[in-house]
Amino acid sequence: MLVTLCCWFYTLFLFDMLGDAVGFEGAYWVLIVVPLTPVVLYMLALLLVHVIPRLDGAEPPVREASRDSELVSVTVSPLVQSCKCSSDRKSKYVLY
Amino acid sequence: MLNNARRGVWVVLICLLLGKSNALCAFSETELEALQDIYVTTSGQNWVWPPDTAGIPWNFTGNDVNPCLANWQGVNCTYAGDSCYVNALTLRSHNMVGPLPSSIEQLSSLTILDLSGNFLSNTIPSAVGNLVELRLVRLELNRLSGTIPASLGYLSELYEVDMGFNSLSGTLPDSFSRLSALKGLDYGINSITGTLPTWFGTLTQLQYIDGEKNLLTGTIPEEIGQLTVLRAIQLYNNYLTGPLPDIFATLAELTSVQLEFNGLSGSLPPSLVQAQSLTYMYLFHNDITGTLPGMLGTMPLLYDLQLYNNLLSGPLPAGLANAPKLANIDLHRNHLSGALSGALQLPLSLLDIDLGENWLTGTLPTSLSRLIHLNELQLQDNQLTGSLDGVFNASLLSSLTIIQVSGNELTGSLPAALFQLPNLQVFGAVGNCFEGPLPVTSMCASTTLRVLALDGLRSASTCQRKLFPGISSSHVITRPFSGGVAACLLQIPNLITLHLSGNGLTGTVPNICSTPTALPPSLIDLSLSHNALTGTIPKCIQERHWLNLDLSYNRLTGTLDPAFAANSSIIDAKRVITSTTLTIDNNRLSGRIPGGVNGYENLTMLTSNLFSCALDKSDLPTADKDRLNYQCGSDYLNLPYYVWLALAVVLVTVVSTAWWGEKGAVSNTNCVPATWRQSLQSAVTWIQVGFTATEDTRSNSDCPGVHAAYHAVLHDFNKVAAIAALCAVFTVLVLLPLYVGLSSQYSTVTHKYAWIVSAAYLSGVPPGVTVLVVLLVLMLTFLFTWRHACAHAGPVRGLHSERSTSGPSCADQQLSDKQPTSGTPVVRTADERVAATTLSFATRTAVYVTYVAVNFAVVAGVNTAYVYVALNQRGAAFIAAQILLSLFKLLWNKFGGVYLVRYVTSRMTVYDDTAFGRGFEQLKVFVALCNNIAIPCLVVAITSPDCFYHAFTAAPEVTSSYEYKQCYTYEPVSHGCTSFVMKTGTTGYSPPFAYSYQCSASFVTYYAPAFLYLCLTATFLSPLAQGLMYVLHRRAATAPGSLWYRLLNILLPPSLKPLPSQDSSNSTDAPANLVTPAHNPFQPYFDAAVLQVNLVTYLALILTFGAVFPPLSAALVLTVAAVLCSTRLKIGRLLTLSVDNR
Repeated sequence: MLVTLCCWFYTLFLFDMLGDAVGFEGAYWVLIVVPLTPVVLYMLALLLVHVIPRLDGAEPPVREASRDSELVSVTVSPLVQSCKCSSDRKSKYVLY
Repeated sequence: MLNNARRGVWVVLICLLLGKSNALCAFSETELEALQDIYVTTSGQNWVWPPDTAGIPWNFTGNDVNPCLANWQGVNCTYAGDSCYVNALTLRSHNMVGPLPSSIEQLSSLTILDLSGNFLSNTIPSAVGNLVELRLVRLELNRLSGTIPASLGYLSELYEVDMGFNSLSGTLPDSFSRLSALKGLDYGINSITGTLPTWFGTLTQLQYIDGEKNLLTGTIPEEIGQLTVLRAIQLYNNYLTGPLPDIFATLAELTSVQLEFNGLSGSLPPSLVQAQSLTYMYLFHNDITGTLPGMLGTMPLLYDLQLYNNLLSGPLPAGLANAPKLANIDLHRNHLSGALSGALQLPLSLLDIDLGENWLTGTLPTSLSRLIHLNELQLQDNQLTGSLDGVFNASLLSSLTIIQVSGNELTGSLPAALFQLPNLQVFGAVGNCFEGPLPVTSMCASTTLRVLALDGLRSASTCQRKLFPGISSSHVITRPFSGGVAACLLQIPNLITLHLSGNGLTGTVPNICSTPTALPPSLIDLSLSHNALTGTIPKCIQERHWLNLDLSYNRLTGTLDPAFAANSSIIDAKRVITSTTLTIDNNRLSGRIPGGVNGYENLTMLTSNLFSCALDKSDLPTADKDRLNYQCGSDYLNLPYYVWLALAVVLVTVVSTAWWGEKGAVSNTNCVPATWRQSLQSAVTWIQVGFTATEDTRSNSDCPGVHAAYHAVLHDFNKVAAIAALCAVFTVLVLLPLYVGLSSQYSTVTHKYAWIVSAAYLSGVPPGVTVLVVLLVLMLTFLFTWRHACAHAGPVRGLHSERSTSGPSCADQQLSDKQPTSGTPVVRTADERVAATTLSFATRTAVYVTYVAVNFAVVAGVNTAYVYVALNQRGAAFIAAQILLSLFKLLWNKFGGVYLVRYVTSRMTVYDDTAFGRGFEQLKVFVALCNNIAIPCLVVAITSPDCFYHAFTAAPEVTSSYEYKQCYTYEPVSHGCTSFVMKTGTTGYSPPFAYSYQCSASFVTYYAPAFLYLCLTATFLSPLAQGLMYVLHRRAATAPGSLWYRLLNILLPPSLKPLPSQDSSNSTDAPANLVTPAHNPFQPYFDAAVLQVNLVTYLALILTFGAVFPPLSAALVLTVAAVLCSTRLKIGRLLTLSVDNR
């Protein structure tokens, strides 16, 4: 979500920079390419996190979603929720 | 009478010879007294005596005063025996000031009374009616008021009455019907009311009626048709209504009808064409309907036909071609329709044609060239189509000086032959469908051209390409005129006005300043706005003081010359009276504003330019309406940033001193008060709570679940803060120097001020590619670190493993009671959520939609208001709006949005937003990002004129005017112009939307100051205020019933309130106010989700606004640290106290 938003935000800046110099015809590709960059970036990040460690012989990160899902009586961090590694957690942390 | 005159002459001669005048002609004492009365009451001592008028000034000194024999100026006498009497008093323009005395009636022989052109005031004495021999009364051009005396109607000899240009009121006396000898009646330019009397018909000798510019109402009586000798009727500028009576058949001698500026309606009467002497027909500015009678062509003497601004419809009658004398036909602003090509079978005698502002269609016929005497052709604002090719034959139309075809749908290119017309002075073709290229060579070769109005050559509605058809009338220019502005156009020798705006012209403004005389002195009106011109404004154009200079809506860069508008000698004395206009807004100009611009009365130069000014804006031009809400350079950013910088230094110094002091020597010295030292140690302890999960969990065995969970949350938030810091460091160390370097080479403005360290105002392929690559690296870095953080979220998982085997926590135990009996924090577990998790899909959707809709409506509304203030309000209001917006963001993020969620949820089900699952958490993050980034950007993009405002709302029509000389009278035979009149031509066109490529810069300039205020508030103001309230609350606790304590109790966050001991809750001695509030979903001690959303929002701001303006990311990362630190302090204190209580 963050990366997508950022790329959309950058789009107009880059379009202004290029378009002012080369006109709309020379810069319209920015309006298409940059908003789609998050897809490429996400794939790249996946590659960096998952593939490269394996090539180095390291263990891939363990996903413990199945284990977490059994611990229904405990609240968890919202940050972790937003990460894929804790996709099965469902509550937030509130102190009453 | 004649005999008396001859005798008088002899008497005068004899008197002159003998020197005994008095003895020969006795002047009546009563008449002398009457003259003296006139002299005295009208300030005779101040009369002026025109030297070209016969006679001597009046002199009443001496014994034997005889005006007749002394030949007093303006006094004519008649003689009867030995006596002489005044029979004519003619004192035109003698500076007579005051009322006319009634004693004038003593001049009993008076036949002519002509006192016109003086300053006579008060009423016309009715005693004038006693001058029975009076034949002519001229009192026009005075200051007479009151009514016209009815007694005048009894003067049977009266043949001319002229009382025009006074302030007379009332109605025309009915007694005038007796004036059977009356030939001329002039009571125009007064305030005469009433209707036109029917008794006009009895004045059979009447030759002219002048009643213009009065308050006459009613209709024109048919009885006027009985005035068979009537030659002229002038009743213009009244309130006459009704149709023109069909009376003209009998008015054989009528030459002039002037009934313009009335409310006459109906159609032209058939008998009109029977007025065979009619030469001048002025019926314009009425409501005349119907068609033009074809028989107009049969009127043999018709010379000037002016029927403009009526409701005439139908085609131009072909019969007009037969009018042998017709020289001027002005039918503009009617509803005439039909094809012009057929209608232009006009008489060859025509000198002026004005058919503008009608609905005429068709093309301009090539037969136009047969009108060889044609001087003026005005066809603007019709629906004419086709090309101008072959229409204008330069060898035939040698007299043609004015061509106006603006506001049509003419196509093709402008023909070169047009500008080869030997006398062409004015050419206007604004708002058509012309295409390029311009016939620059023939244009520049013309030595007669005075006015060249070629704005929006391709902007007519029929050839516009709409941006959003059906939604907005905004359009973009298609097939712009290539080639830019030719330098020679600015050097046409006698050119006064050159308008080329709205044509999509590219290139630069020609630099023709190589020689001092390169810019012709006649050129004083230049409009090149709404193009895409680049480069700087040439020096000689800047230095000239123009009547009108419009270079707005271009991409002009550079600074203004210190000698701007210094050369004022160009504008001649006549034109200095006209206000001068300078319009250079919506460009990319920067730097200081020279004082010379204040020489322009109408000034628009600030908007969307980046000028600098003094802090109090005193050096901004006062005539510019945007002066008060103009952001000079980066002034609105500078002040809060300096404040932030100073406070940041202080904060870092204090925190590091305290931290190292607590760790090191300070704690062991006595130089710090013990209470301070104790507080500092407590604070450090609180902050460190939850640092390590294992220690906390073990050490706080009474409540391990809370501490462990807090540790897990803290761990995650620390990671967010670390990522934010990393991104901020990247922006400051990589992007900031990059922007500075690029700005020196690729900036759209010469002076960028603080924006030099931003991605705003950059232009070019190299910066675009470089910034793209670096921003991608930033994104990749962020993604990698984020995923790395997620992948290694070990402590969180460890916590859960431990929790699962540790048995029921204290929180679980307390929760089972459902009613917390103490202030000990409680972790809500899934046990309580069982019911809520069964929410239906419809309920969840309803909550989602309500939450998102209300949130977006509020945030979008506030941001729209902010941008509106930024665009339209004065400086103080703008600063206030920035502060209010930052407070709104802070409060909405912290409370508004949170309470909205809880309220919506509680209204639909038992409060528990966790019942909505992980998707709702993501939705809240999404909404927060929208609130703080997407919506502001969208609002700016839609509402800012620098962005796409004019794409949705069409820019207002651009109107421009120019002056030109129009022939007023022609020499009858040669048709040469004998007199001119200055006319003002006004044209308008719809400017095309042209994106300025400055929208992204306005994101930064609008919102960077607002975010900086947000940082100031969140980093310094909010923690300081909470800390202050905490201290005050503790002090006020000694008097818990006081108003002050109650107020603080409301304001202080629950996490900062004191916790009672567990025993105290049961103690009857414990003050009730010290009991922590019971379970309240709207007042949690700590909501990690809120903090999570806030931190992610700050991180997003760093990655967006911070990335394009790195100084902001520095401020934001400090805010993240401050927020996290203050939260740890509060929650650490809470947990520590709760354990202590237990």
